[in-house]
Amino acid sequence: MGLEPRTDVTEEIELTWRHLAEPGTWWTATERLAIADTARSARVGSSPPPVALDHVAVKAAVTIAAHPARTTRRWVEAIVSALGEEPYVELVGVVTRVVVVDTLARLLGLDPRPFPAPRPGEPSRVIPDPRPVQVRTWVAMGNVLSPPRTLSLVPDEKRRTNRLLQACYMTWASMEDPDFRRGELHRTQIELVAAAVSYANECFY
Amino acid sequence: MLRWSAETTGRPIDVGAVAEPGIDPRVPGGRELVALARAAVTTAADGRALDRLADVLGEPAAVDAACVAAAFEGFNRIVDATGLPMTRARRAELAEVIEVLGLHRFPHA
Repeated sequence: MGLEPRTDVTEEIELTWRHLAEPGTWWTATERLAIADTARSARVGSSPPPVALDHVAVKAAVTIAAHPARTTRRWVEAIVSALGEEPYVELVGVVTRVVVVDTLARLLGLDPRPFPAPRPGEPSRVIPDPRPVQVRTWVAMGNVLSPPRTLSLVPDEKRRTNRLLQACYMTWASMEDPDFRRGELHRTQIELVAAAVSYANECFY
Repeated sequence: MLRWSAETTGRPIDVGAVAEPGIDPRVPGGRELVALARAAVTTAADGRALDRLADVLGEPAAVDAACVAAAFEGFNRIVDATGLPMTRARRAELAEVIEVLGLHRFPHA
């Protein structure tokens, strides 16, 4: 079919792609693109591409992209002990955004978007102050346990990931509206899609 | 969210359709919406799911539904990769849905 999504979605995809190719908070642009490429390959069942990336990061990207329900607290703790908690959280954000963009392209009958060239520079290594506490979750995200807060350890990744998710789904404010409409699509139809995707992924939350 | 939206706005819904393709969800384009959601999760390219949905709801709605499906491919990952738990209160609230869909079998239940 080959259709275009709404302007706000295409703008967020553009921003996501630009951001992937920039130095992040804990990974360089080359590393971020390697994570993205690894996630893309894993998602379609291909072998990981030959990328210059720590093997633990490759393992994390592959699992989150292709088998998200296989994660466990012990698995995350092992990955975090090797990579660090903040780099792991940034990796989750990068994988998440690539999966969103690639899934949408595939559903719309489009080719996967080529990755841009990495931009030079060093990661900012910014730690949020105060650092979020860890309460019942596998990584620290603060006291409020909700999807928009999951990436709180890396505020830049959180903000950009949430922007893409909101553009594709709805704003957090709209979530309060059971009668919300996105064009011709009613909230009940939207949630039917959301529930069916989550069921197929065996996502309990 | 699905049942809440349907009940609050007075729309019929059969949540069993989320798990069982033979069940009619009872919302306009319901079967096609579920098929599109499933196509989002499988890796095989299946443009037909979008086409079939567009035939029923129109192309703009089909594209919007594809965006939602893509977003939940993302939501599922950030939730499962960070161990976001369902609160006890929410779990109790959703007990019937959890039972109907057999969600207690899921790895993170």
